Amino acid sequence: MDSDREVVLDLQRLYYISRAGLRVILLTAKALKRQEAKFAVCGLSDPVKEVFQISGFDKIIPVHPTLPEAKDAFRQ
Amino acid sequence: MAPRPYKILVVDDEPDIQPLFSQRMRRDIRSGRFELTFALNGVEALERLNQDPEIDLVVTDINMPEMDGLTLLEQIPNVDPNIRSIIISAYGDMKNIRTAMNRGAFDFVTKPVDFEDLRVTIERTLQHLAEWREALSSRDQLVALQNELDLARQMQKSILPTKFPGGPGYQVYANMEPARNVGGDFYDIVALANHRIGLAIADVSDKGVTSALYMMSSRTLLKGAAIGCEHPGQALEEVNELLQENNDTGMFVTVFYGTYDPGTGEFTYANGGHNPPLIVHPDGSSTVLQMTGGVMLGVVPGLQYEENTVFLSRGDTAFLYTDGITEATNGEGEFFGLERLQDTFAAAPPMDPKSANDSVFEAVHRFVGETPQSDDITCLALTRRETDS
Repeated sequence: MDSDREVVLDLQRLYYISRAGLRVILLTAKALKRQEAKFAVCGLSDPVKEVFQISGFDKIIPVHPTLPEAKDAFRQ
Repeated sequence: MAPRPYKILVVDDEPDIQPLFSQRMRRDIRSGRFELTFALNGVEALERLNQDPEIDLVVTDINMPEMDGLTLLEQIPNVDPNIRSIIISAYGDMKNIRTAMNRGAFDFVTKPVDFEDLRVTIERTLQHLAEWREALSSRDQLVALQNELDLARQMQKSILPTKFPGGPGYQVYANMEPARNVGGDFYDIVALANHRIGLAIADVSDKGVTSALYMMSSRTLLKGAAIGCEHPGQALEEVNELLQENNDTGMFVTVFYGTYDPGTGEFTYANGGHNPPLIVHPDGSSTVLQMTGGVMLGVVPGLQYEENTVFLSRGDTAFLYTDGITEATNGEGEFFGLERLQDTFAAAPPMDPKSANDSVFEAVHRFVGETPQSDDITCLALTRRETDS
């Protein structure tokens, strides 16, 4: 598979994300979708994970614990 | 279109000055950079300035009959404070030069006039003038923008209900404290069939005028959906469908919406990605309402919103809020957080919805101190009273 068409956003050093931040990720996901690229995020810290869960963001953006797992998921 | 030439008024009582300046500055005049106009003394210069508002710069001699250059300098700001002036003085005449600078002259050249030096001085002054004008116009634009934001903030605030329903056995209270930048929080209280009431609290993804507009359309759609369907989940599904159409901006809104039955204390709700409300008990203890797994509205089509039902006991308060509370930040960069919110109620168990809101606002204000508020803070509370009377 063409790896240029896969994007994983590694958020492991992020401890806070605002709604404006979620919106940026959302716009990124939409832009990639238009280009038929695969997109996922990984490495969510506890506070960021909580924001993803409450907002339901984890149901519309693929979330994986680590980068290798995100890459593996693209293969399946 | 080429910019108009800078208009320079040259003031000198020597009649030779006129042809001399015109000759030495001919290149700049021909290229359209400068335009020269002349006056023989201060009185004539002021007349010229009053007649011609396009004059940008005054180059003046000091010693002249009728009105000298120093007096002229004092008078210029009365005509237009944005005109700049350069004086021509005798070489070494520091006393007059200092007086002229104190009276607002921008720069000076000395006699006999070296025209190359004068040209450089004029260019420097005009450069300053251009920057000054740009700063003035940005300031005007900023003021206009600020007025627009104030208006948007007023609009946002004015659509929120400020009269609260109460009936046998319950009371409602809500308020929003908008951040300096227009935010996107809102709440609504809707009268439904069979004496039920709908309670909604919501927060739009970003700040600014776009958010405020998005918030207003969300609020209208939600109100319509709430009146149209009995089930909170269904109402959110409907609003989500309408909001996600043609949404290229990535905007979204988190909404918690529940319906309350005053007869039984039944509270049925669905949650579109909003932070879950608290149920506060009369002893000050509180529980977080169970999450129902809903996604924020406006992003993905065809979503379902699960519902859940709880019953408020007498004295219980349902406390709906936005993350402006939990994410209120103090000087050390700490968040107010859920724990402090729950501690606030534990320390002062709310008697009614207003006291619940007031104590939370007070605790948040105390916590943040002087740190500027970056997000709207909104609370909506409903208390089931101890008696129905």
